[in-house]
Amino acid sequence: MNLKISQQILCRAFEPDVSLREFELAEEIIHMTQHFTPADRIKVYQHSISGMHYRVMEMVFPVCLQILGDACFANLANDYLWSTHSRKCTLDQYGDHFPDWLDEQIDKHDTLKDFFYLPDLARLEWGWHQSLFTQDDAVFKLEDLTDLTNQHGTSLVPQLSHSLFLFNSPYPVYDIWLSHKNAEPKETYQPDLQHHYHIIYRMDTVEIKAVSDMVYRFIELCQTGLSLADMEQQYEKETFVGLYELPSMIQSGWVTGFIADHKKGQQV
Amino acid sequence: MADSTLSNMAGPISGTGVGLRHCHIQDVLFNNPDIPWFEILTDNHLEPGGPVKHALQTIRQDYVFSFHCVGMSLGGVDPLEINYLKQIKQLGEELDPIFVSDHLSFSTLNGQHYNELLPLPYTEDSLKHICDRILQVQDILNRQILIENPSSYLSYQHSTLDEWDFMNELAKQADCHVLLDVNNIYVSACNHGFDSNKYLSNIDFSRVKEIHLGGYEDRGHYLLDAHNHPISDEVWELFKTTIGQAPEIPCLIEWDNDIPALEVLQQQASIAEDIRQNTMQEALLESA
Ligand SMILES: [Fe+2]
Repeated sequence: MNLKISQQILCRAFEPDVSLREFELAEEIIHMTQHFTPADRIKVYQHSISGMHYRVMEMVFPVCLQILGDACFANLANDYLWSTHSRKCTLDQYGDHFPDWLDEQIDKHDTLKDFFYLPDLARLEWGWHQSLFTQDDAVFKLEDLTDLTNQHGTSLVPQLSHSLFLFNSPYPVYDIWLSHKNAEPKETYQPDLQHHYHIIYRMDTVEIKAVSDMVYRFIELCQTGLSLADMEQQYEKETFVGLYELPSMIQSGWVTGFIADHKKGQQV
Repeated sequence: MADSTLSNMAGPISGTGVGLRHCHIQDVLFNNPDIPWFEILTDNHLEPGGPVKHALQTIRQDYVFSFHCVGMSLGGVDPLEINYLKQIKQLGEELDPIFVSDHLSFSTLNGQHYNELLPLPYTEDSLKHICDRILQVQDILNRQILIENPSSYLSYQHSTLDEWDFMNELAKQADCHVLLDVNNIYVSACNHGFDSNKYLSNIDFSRVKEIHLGGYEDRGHYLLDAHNHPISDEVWELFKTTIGQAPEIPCLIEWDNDIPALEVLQQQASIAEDIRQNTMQEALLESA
């Protein structure tokens, strides 16, 4: 039997939707001993695969786990694993689609309806996890800002920290996240009309900061690569707020440098 | 053929090191424990930056590292993941490991990653296949790698070679080295019903560059290589035999789940070193 076929037969047997015939086929190619049947041997691997992925999910989404409880979270993690499959040979990006996948599950399952805010909470946790491992940034000194603006005016294009992620939600999921991090139980939140904006970023550790919608919008504009002048033309209000906040954004490590627009791509 | 001396500038290692896990990094950073070397799980450190990466760079100033990988899928039939190998190479340039190792297994099929060390049938076909891939990996990394014998829970009806013969042939044909996990030998021997001592007496020790020791979990009708227990008496016995064959080989204590304080790992390492010293002394006395 060629290598590919034996691997296909074995791996098919791990899948939850394996047919009886497919499973029997796998059993047939495996050695057995009296107390350790091929089916049991396959199950060892199946559990090990699930367990490995569960441990990653548990690490990346600890507050989702607290809220759902071990059993429910384990079921979801297992369904997620076998319905989406890991796309990388390492597990560092595992869970990237979990928030979107949760959105679908909440629509599908009545038992999850009360957890309407959970996909956003998972997004917040994913952002936190991502921020921790991003590339380090160059340090930009606030003192250099005046010289730079005198020299280049508003042709500057702000550069953002690699560790910076934007997060917004109609639910106060950051408060929920915080209360669970402090191990304080909190009632299920009822939505109101407010919207919540946050910046996730890394200084020494990962921080999450609530910001105004204007600051959030300014950071979003920075992500599009517009110069301050272009922003001013198109988005006057946001740019005004952004420029006012720029020194504190530099001190927080959100803005880590500038590119002069007329010298395309040249870090200044 | 890749020449390990070209890319590997780290000094030689000896004694028993421990696997460096996240929970011990601060301890190592601040207390500089008396541990001869560390093995890091490469796949956990391929991120471009962050505090853990900085900590590793600092620790590397005082300790030698080896890299242990799980994602190469050397026995797999999907194309090798060149990007992953390049990341390992890049990390190697930063941390200059003494060894780079992965397993005799596959973990990927049809683009699906199981992130698990799945067993291979031991046939001439799979031997040729894995040797070709090891040669490719060694070319990309520009160094020889070590292949570890896995612990396994199933074997194939159509296998025609014993694992030890497969390992020996693979090391010879791919001109690579062997990472011999003594606990894995014991676990697989119990799960498949072969004799661990037969494994040890047939392995070509001239290719073995590193030994792993870890703890299994007894699940009644099988043993699980859970790396969550102290090393068992049976495995210490096998280790004694191993060291009798190759007294100078560096060893490593692996503990990955329910990880205890670093001192516990150091205690395990010192048991290994005591066994090494005693075995060497006994051999000396015998020859005298
Ligand atoms: Fe090992």
